[in-house]
Amino acid sequence: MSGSAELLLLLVGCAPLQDGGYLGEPLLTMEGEILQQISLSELDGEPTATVIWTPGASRGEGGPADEPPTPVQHQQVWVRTEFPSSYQIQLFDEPPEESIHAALGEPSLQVGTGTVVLFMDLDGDGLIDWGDEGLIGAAERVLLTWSEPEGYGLGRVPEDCDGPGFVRLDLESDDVDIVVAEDVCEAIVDPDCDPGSVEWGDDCRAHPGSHR
Amino acid sequence: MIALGLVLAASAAEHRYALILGHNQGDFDEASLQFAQRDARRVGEVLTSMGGVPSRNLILLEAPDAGQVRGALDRLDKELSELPEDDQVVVFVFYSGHADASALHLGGTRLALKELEASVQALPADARVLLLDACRTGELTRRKGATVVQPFEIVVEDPGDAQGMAIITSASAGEDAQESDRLAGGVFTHHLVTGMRGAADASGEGSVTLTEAYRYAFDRTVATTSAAPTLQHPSFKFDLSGSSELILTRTHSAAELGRLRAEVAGHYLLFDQAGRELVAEFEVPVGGTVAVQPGVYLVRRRSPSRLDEARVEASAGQVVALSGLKPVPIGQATRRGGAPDRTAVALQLGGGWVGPMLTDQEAGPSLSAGLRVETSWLSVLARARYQTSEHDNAQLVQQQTLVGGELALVRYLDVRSVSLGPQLTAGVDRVWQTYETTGEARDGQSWVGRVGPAARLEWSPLARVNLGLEGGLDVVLANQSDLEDPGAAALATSVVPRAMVDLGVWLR
Repeated sequence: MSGSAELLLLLVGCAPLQDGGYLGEPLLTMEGEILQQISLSELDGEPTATVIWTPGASRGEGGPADEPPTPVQHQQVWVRTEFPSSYQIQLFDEPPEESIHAALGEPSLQVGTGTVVLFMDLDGDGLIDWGDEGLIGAAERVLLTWSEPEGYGLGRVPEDCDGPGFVRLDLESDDVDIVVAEDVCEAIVDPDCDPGSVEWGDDCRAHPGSHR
Repeated sequence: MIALGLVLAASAAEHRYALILGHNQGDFDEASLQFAQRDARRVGEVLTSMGGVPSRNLILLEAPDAGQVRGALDRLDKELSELPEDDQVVVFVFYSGHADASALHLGGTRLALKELEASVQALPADARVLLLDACRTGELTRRKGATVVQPFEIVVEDPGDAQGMAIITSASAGEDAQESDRLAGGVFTHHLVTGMRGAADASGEGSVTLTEAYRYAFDRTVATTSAAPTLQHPSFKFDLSGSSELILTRTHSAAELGRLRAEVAGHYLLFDQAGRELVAEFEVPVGGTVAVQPGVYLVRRRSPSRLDEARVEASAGQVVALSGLKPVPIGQATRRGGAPDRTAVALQLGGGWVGPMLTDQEAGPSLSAGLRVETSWLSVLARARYQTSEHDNAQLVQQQTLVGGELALVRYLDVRSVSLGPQLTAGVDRVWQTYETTGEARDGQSWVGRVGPAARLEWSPLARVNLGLEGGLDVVLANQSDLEDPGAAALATSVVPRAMVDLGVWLR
């Protein structure tokens, strides 16, 4: 819009109108490149970025769950996936309720952890139909956090878990790249380096037919 | 007092003749008249149908030059001189066209008024009536030291055969004689003919005298021209030697004509069946009658607050009561030009649905209220509008409220009690958006402009009430958030359908 039109609108007291698809002001925006290390030409579906959260049921008082828990997908996500080059994700609300749990050692603190992943959307609904659809890529060792009242945070977990620890990333400026690789699940397994608890289980549900 | 020295036919045979002249073109530098020749035909028709002038005794000249008029006067003089001396002879001479204070203007030729007056005066007849519907011919009736006054009572002093001449002009000295597009004729001649048809029959005796006709034409001409830039006062001069009244027309004895009788006193307008051509306009008391050619007419009765109309059929020799006139919806009456006022004002209230203004929104209800001004050519509606809508996309609920104003122009076509027409609407609205959400959302507000066509259908169950149905499309210009750059904004256009119904009440 021209500068004069902007000035005119400012003078008459206008705030832009939103159409019916408006989801609100994003609470979190992430973007980055999609780095493809394997071919996906033989797979059906549309590569789609999304955010998944550690299910709160996997965190008990301690000890492993009996069965691999199902990650919880964030529902209200605005996504633009330009495969194979880039993506952008916006979150407009808090993590799903079932993914929020008490922090270890701080029972009064409610937290959630998750990450950015890429999955093959066979039916185009934007939702991961676990079993038929699965993951083909993930943000390597990137942990998405949420706590009340601080809100969203982003950090990177050291590769060998022996490093200095969780490194906070800048939500405004740091890109989070997604890697499409053979061992997608390794990128997200045990992201917080606490082998004493299970986040994903043995089966992180890679896409059927993709390399693991 | 002046006595009108014109004698009715008694036991001797009466012969009536008429020389009728009409010319639309005067001098070559004068603008053409539209109705002068038509007026001449109308006068000839009423004299032959109701005035006792046989068709063979009618000389009708349209667009004659001065030589042809002189020739017609000579022929008339010769024919009248061959009639038996004892028979009563009445001659009417009528002219409609251009003139000035001294002469008739006949298509580039001139005939002096004094010559015309002398020629008519010299005709071997007992009674001569010279009628002139032309500008400034009132010089003929001007008397030195006298002033033009309204007609007053005629007193019969001395009944019996008499000779004399009456001159009636449509305008006084120095005044213009006017034509009227609405009357489709000269103002004076229109009212004179209407009076001769029976509207001037003040006594109700079924005949119209010269005095009655003149009185009626005088009153109506002054009334009609009172709304024009200049007034017009017919004038007369009667040179006579006392007698009774000259009867111009008889309404009862015209067996080939039909008569319309007013059941309600009032101001009546008589149109042809299609309602396009005004045949007559007259004021009559209860029981007043007008003689017309058989046929179907659209009759309108106009009063200060309403217009009533009905179609009536006049049959030869029959009297038809002008009853059962139904009120014309005020909007239609104003558009037709028959309403008491040139404009009418109505209060309009409405409600309807407006389509989504932006993508992924829902249609919503709207309310409107405004004022409408009706003229003969256009309907102008100014109204305020209120609309609310809610849009739910599972993440948040958007409440949108709109308050605005618009101007609508409609050109109606009336078909019986229904009117329809195209409409053009333009308006400006103020829009507010608020949200209910578990996250965060930014309220919005913006001015929105719109313009678009619509169609409007209207029905009037009562004269003062109208029900309207309106549907259209608006092209809307709004300040909308840019999806590619949510912090920025862009002027976006959309096409928004809308439909509404409204109720209007005419205030005046």
